[in-house]
Amino acid sequence: MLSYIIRRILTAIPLLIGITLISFFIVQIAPGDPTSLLMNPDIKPEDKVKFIEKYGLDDPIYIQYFKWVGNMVQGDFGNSLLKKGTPVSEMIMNRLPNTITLMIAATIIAIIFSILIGVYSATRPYSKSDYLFSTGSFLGLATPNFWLGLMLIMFTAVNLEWFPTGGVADLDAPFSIWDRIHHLILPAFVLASADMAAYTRHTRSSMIEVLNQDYIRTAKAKGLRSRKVIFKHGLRNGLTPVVTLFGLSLPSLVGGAAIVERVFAWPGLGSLFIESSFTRDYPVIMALIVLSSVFIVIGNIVADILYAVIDPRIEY
Amino acid sequence: MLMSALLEVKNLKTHFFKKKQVIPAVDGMDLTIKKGETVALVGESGSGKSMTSLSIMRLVPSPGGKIVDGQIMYDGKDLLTISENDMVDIRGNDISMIFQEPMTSLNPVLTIGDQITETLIAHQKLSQREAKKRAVELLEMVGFSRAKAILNDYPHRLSGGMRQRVMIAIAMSCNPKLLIADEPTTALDVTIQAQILDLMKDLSNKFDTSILLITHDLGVVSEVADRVIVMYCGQVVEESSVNDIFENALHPYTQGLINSVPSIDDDIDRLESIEGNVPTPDQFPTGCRFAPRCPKAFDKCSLHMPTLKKIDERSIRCFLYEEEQS
Repeated sequence: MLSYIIRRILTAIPLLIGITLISFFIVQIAPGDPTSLLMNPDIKPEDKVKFIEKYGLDDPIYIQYFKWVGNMVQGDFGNSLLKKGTPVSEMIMNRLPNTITLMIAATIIAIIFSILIGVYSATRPYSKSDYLFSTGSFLGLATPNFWLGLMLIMFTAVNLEWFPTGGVADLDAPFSIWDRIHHLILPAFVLASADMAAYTRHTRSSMIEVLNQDYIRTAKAKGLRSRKVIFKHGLRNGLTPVVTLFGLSLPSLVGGAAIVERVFAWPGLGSLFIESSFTRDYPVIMALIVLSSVFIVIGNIVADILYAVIDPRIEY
Repeated sequence: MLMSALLEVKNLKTHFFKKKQVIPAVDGMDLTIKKGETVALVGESGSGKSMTSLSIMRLVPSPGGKIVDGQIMYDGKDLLTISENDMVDIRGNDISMIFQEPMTSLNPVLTIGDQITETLIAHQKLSQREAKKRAVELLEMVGFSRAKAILNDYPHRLSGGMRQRVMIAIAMSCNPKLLIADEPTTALDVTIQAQILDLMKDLSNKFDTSILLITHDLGVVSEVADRVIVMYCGQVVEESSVNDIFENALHPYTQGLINSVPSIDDDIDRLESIEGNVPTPDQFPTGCRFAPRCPKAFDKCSLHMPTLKKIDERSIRCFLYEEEQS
């Protein structure tokens, strides 16, 4: 198992190198160069040369690439082109906890609700409540995040005033967990909605299949209570496809976070990404692309490991 | 043989409902199992043997299947009228069951130990540790030499024969009064078959457990059964002691079954077979259900359904013998 994990991490390295290459050269291809973007057009030519030398902009491209990667490995993502040259790593570290909180909350909501609803539907297939939840899932799958977010803000935050309209916390209130959770509920629910729908569909169909297996009949014949039959004997078998889906849906979680963060004015990496794209703050964009790729790669490794934890027949 | 009845099935009807069609998988089944006795339930595929056993456990696949009529008397209670909670206490404890497919009957994601101990914990209220100790004893009882190591193994590491032993260990864990074995050896190699049958026979003698053995293998029947019940199309067609059946089968269907078993002594080119197939329930004939395939059928057979008649210690559903009696 350990050797498998190490192997997976090693094979992820070429992938990450590819990602850095692509994100680096995309920015290189983009029109314009830092000098024209950053500097006063009336600057003296010798100052311009000084600037170019300072940032190594006259080096061959591959040298620039290695410098960038080399610094990045040491945790230095360079400085923002705007915002008075704040280090990118500092900007990211300020935003990262918010995004992670949001993603974890969304994942927990998606998993808990989808398992409960999926199992409930699977034990009563083709009943009225099953149809109701199925319709709900399809609606959830079909509804765009930003629209759902805006609607929820309009009805539950503006009209009913149950929730704040955005942000991570009340600005004028002292720190409190409840206040944080209160702000978290809507964006986390919106971010969870699409995944929740997909997980529910998969849990339902895989549980229906599992509950018809011989070992479920055995468990019943042993005289186990039906809750134990479903959750102990059924669910662990039924979860395997859902775990795969979880690994696959991480990218959409990362991408979805950008939109949801924007809608709810959530100061996370997603909104940082959108802001930086508008202002063409290339070092920030590149760092965020690399970072989210790392997230996704790690997520997939975790999903594969979870696989083996759930199903002992899978041995690496 | 003056033994009291352990389980009495009376006029059991288990039907399947498919769209507007009603499929009588079990259609008026009577069955009595005495204490310590091994009863074999024999018949071709689709004759309703498995559904009878699942009905006794109240595990008929649902939605679709439903027990529509009858009584299953056990220990003074009708298993068909008690609550699901009371039934849960009986399953695995008083009446346990092993299945045909050892490869798929154990849960692939739980250890063998877990699957044995959970029954003990549920019914005998043992602690985790006591249950583990008992599980080792049970595994040794069914012939595992390294029982302790097996506890932490997963089913996919065991062979079919070993898994069936584990199933037997689970089924015997609470000293049940009745063990229902639904074709327990069908999926196994011949040598393993004999071992498993011996094991079941041993255990039933040791613990005075009755066995309801469901099989289509007459070789197995002759080896272990005391009494034989032959089913055809959801009904009992003949019932008698194992000796009588093999020496003097009365029902033409039973005779056909016995004649279609190859014998090592006779030197024949072709095996005898019963012409035709078991009719599907929607094509049951109006009279005797075996009539269309019966070599001895006469006019009356295709018009009326014969009743199950008692002749001495045996029962038979055939007009050939009704005439004799009257």
